[in-house]
Amino acid sequence: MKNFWSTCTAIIALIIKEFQIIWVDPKNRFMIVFPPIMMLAVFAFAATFEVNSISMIIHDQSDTPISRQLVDKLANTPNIDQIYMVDNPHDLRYMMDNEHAVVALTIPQNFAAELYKDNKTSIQIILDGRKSNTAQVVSGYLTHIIAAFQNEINAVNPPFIPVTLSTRHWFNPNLNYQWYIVISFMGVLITVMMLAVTALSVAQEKELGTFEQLLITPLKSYQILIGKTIPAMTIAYLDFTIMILGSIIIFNIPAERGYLMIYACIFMFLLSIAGIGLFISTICQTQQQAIFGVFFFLAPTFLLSGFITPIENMPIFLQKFSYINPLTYFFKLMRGLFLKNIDNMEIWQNIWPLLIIALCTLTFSSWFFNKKIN
Amino acid sequence: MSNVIEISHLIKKFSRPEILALDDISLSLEKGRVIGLIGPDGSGKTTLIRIMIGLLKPSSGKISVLQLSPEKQTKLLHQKIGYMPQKFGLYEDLTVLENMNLYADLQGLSEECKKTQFEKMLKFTGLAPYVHRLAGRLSGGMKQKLGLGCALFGSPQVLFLDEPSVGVDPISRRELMKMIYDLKADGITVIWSTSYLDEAENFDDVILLNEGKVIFYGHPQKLTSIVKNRVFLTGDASKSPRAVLRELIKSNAPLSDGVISGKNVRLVLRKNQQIHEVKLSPANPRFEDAVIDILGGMNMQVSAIADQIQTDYSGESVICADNLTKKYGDFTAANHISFNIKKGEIFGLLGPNGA
Repeated sequence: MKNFWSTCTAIIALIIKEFQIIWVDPKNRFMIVFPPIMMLAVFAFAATFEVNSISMIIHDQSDTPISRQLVDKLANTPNIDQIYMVDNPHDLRYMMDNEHAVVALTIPQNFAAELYKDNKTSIQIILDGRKSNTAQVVSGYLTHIIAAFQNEINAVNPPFIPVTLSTRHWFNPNLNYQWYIVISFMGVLITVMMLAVTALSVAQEKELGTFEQLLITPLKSYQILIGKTIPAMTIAYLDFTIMILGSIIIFNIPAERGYLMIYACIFMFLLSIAGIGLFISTICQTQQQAIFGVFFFLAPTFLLSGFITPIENMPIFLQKFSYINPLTYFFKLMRGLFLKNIDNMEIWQNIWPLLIIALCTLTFSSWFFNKKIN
Repeated sequence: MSNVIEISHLIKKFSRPEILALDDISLSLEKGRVIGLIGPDGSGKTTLIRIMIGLLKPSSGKISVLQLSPEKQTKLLHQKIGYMPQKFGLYEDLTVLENMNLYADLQGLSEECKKTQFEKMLKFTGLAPYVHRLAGRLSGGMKQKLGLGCALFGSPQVLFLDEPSVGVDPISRRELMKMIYDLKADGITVIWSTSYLDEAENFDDVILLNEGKVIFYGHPQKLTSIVKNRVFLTGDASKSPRAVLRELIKSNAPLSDGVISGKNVRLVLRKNQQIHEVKLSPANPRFEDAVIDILGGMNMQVSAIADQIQTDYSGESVICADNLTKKYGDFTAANHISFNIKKGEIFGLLGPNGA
């Protein structure tokens, strides 16, 4: 019993030491509190999938009341900021080449005539393929606008009654991209912070020689591991709280399943990331190697998590990697917990893989810690 | 039972690149002695220490420390030993007191135990006025004293010090050595590794390692005695000592070692050899002479570079300092320093830490 208490005191001393080291350096304090706030703001507002302030070139060869009606409609669209009217294909080409606009519209000479004759006509849309993402979004907008225009003229001289689609987006009714981004980004930022606190701090101790001193204490390697994991998780929870407050105050994101459940589910995620961080640290000798190791882990992890591109779009062999990626489960969990009010079964389905990842990585690191340095 | 460390046929090989770091080492180290582990850089000192404390596995051979196997009973052993690594093993961002608290807790000391040990340690190291200073701001000597103090928490029976005197000025080095001898009175066995040969004469026993082999184990004076009657001083008022040495080398004199020592040249002759070219006056053999001799002596050659460097010091100054002063706030680091360094000179800047 006496042994048990002295071990506890020793682990607590390790944890206190970790906080003291972080606290004593103003740079560290800043690094823990400021980035979550700043990054959340920057990413939530900058990393938007919407395209605003589109500039557009129109070459209206038709120049009829009906074609001018279309131009007016485009000009009145809030997402379109600027319309350049040109009167020859030469200017159009020149302006597209020089990136004055992302899209150019050519209304053919026979536009009005064909429309009245066959009730069918075509318009040419040229998109700037250099900005493929923007081009795709703009193309979608234009399709919508032109379809609406079609409905309007059909309504005026009705050959048939147009079918209108009405779309509802569940779980995010206003298709607020910030909700998606903020929730995903919490996971990304927490991952980076956790890896920095775990992987880099052990590597730093190796560089300073203090790690060897820890190994020589009567503490067992898993106890040293606990001493590294708890401070990292505490800091991660602190950052997480800052970001949740941001999500409530700035973005009004609902928490359908309640914050208690969210905090509980995060525990498993943090444990698995801590395990990975410590695992990286055990195979690195210097901070530089650790930074490289963290980066080597981060880049594919983000890509294969479903944050940037849907997992279903990836080749099958890459999809398999997403099964061992803690972020995949975190995103599913968080989107479900915040926006969907998912049931316990679904939570559990995403919790047990995290548990297995954490168990594997922590056992591995403990074993590697124990292995005599060679 | 009085042997604290028993080593037999210990071999340690490293792979990539393949190095035989320790080559068939057998030693029995007695309890309560201050043992110097000496040898050139790369001779295997650190490897041997790390194997003894269980941070490295031997490739083959047997080792026991305090009747425990460092490989298998690592944690049990760690409760009974203290270790100070080559790099400063303390947290530079924590204060002296915070470091002490941490290491005391890691050793599992109780609160009363801590109090008495802290008091003893601060008195012993003279660090009491600096307890609230960050460990990173201590001078080299004070850092080592703190490291030593922390290594002593938990009252170890054997203390391992890996090059504790690197970067420490001679005054602090002497203080460290004195502290170690105070410990010896308590019955602690100390293993102190160093590549500074002038420290060796202070040890009860020395182990001389070279290329992973034990070249000598015993009292340092026993080693010194092998160069008895072979160490001499010579000099010629009309010639520079460098010229005297060069001529000796060119005439293939049987030298084991030759160094310039002030106006004279200090020579160690090879065994049963004589020189008649110059006048010799006997000198006291030093431990260093014996070590150089037992390691096969210096490869005495005329330096191609030294031959080309002009020895005429009357030329122009290359570096001139005139009343240099540097202040950091209230603290004056350099106070009106003036000197000239001339072409061809070797200019030494000496002083204790923080001078």
